[in-house]
Amino acid sequence: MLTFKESANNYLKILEVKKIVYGFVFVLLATILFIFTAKVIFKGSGHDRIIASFYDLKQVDMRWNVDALSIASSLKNNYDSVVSLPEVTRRNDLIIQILNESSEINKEDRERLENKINYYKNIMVKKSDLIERIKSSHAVLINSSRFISSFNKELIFLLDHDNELRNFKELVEVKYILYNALSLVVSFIASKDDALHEELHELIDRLNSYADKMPLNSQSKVKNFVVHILLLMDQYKLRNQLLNELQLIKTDYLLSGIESDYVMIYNKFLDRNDDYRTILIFYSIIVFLIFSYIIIGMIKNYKRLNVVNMELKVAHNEAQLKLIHSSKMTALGEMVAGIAHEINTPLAYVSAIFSVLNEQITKIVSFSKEYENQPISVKILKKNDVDLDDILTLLEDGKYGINQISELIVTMKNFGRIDQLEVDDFLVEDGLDNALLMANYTVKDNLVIKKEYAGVPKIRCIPSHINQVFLNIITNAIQAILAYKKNGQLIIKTVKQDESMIRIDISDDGPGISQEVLPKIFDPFFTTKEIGKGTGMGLSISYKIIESHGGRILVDSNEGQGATFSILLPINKNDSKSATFFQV
Amino acid sequence: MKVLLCLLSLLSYQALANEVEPITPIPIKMGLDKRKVKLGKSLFFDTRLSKNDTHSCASCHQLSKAGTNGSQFAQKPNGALTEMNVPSVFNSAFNFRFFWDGRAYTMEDQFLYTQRHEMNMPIEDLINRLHADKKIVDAFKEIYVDGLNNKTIADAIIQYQKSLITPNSRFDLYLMGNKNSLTNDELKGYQLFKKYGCISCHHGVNIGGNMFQIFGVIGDRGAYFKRKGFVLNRDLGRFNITHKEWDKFVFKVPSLRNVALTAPYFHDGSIATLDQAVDIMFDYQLGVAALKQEKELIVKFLKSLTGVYKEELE
Repeated sequence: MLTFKESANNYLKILEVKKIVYGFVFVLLATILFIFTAKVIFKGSGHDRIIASFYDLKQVDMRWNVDALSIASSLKNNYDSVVSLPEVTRRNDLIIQILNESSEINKEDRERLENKINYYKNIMVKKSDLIERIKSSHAVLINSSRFISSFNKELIFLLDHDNELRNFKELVEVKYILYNALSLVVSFIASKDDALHEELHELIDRLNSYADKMPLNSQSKVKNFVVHILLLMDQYKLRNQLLNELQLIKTDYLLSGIESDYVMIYNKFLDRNDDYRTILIFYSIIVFLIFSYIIIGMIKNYKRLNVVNMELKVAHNEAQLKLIHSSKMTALGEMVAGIAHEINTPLAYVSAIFSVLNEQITKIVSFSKEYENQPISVKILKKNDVDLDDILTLLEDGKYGINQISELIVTMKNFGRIDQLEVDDFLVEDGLDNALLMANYTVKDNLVIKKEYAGVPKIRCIPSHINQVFLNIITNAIQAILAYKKNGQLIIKTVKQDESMIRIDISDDGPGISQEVLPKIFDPFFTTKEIGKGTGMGLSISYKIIESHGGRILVDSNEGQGATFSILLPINKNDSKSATFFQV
Repeated sequence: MKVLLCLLSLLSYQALANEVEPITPIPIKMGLDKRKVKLGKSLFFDTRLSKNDTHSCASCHQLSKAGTNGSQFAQKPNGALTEMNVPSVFNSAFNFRFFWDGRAYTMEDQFLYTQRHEMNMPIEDLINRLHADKKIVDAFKEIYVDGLNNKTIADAIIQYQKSLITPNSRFDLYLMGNKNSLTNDELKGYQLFKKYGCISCHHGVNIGGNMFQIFGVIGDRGAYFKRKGFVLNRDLGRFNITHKEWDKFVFKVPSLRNVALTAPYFHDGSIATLDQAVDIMFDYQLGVAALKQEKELIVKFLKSLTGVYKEELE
């Protein structure tokens, strides 16, 4: 069993440890909260929007490729939908914006991805420029081929039938070169051979030199035709070149690369999220264990505290009982003088009576020897100074004195049941009578005691304790009166306050209690009496006793006008709580 | 015979492309939020968009003048003349890029650029200025969740611009099946338009406005401008943006919608009449010697492209 001090120290240590544990738990909870809040990569449907944007970008890129080829193969005669760069940049910007809004992607990853996307954007700008050039080039190409096809017959007719040309010597050459040039165009379109392109240019140069010698009308027509053949060739070459460049721009690979980069970042996030979840579970278990530990510790501490508490209570009760007893002994001590005096008085009285009786009886014995064989009459007795009436009276008086002594002893016996702590039904009026009787021996005849008993019902209490209270208060009252004046009055009144309470008023007309002293009268060791005469415990213990019975002591006093102590006590008929009286 | 066969193959090259009409009619409705259109309209006519309260969008893009200003150039808020002829705001929503050199990919870019460079009122300043006007701020708050800001102010104006369309031209009616809406001459003109290859660049819903082309296909690069004796910076066209040799003298092909009303013509507004413009196109773009009558027919066809603008705000 631990001593009180050890228990208290242990308890303080436990408090210290608890502070640290609470701090630790707080940190753990904050970590869990952090893990919880750090779980989202994007607000809203960011990931879905990014994936959708990648999908759209792929679609756009594919459509651009198809559109460029459709234009190059004249499958489109309306370029309205070819091509819109904003539908690429808009989506690129959206992806970058969503990435930037996320705090879960580290700066390095984000910047790398952003750079790639911006690079992609630039490539797409180039691609759209290429497609624009293909559009322009193809428009010219189409017009020239259209011109050649529609003007061809007209030119041939002109060359065959124009009168002016009849004298033109190199007409056959011109015709030959024209036919040759056209076939070269066709071959070139079919083979895309740059050598043919150069050959054509040589042919055209020759044709031009011949045409210069032609009459003006046909010259301009031939030259115009030549312009379109050249345009056709050049634009065809340019367009092929552009188409080749277009093919070399691998935007699809670039985009797939960016997408897989993004998916990698996203997966990294998911992995980390898994880690977080593991940590979260781990942390939750730790927190749970710590809470369990704390709760178990608290239960243990509580139990230990209970034991200590019980020990303290028991010790307290013992101390209280000892105090009560000692105060009782003090009270008894005070009584002893009075009681000795009281017993002395009837004893002296009885002994005087008995000495007189002894005298009388001795006389009777001596003259009865004189008057042997003679009847003894009263007269004779009288004559010999023996008064039989006196003897009878004396006997009566002696009996009375002895009765008084025995009565006093019964009272003392009653009052002496100090350690009898059994709860019993108790008539307070009897208790008051007893206490008065006890106190009365200190009382001189000039004290008037008025009893105003209302015949209150029995209460359930520890009678010896209540008796002690009554004795305390009554003794105090009597002492107060006697210290103040010669003739005093003590009024003892019992009243049934209500169905559950009775009230006992003990009023004196002594000096009263001053306003300074009044608040302190129930304090332990407070006394106004001379040192050695009072313990200072009387009222304090009385207060405790009444309190433990569930009652109250009230004081009403004005200085110089006496004091009234009112004791309120519950009737407590068959109340099971009465057991608590043990714990004064 | 060989040649003829080859030519046949070239012809068949064309055959597929001609199955569908290369020009599509302008839609009757754009399906816009009318509140935004109305708000955009008030801004379109608001002179606070320019620095000294002198110009609104409508100063140069006059609705009564087919969305342009009827002059070669326009006077900017700073007093200087614009470099380029004012393009029509009508049907601009169908263009693939904006400005003659196609520098803006979107209408928003076009708006921001014009604010900064023509109006002298960058969007930030404009926002500050309009924030003082409680009526406008409230109007934006009511229509846009975000209230008045860069995006919403551009959007409102763009919504109005998108509403500026001219459907129901006689040619569109013809495309939509009303074969009587064109006269024979106009129809012949359309066929010549296709036959001579104008259609190669002027096609789509805006009959142009969906691709770039070099000004001066025929002859040496820039021959058209060199003929005048000097080449101005503006004549370099798209080169000014890209600085690529192949982009010299390249312009956005302009729309031919309402072309009869948008004289003077070309990026420098240098050509006063449609006939002259058609002549130049034949000479420098097509390299074809067409008959005068044929060109006249084509001009007649071009005049059938004038549509009808109907404001629908309620």
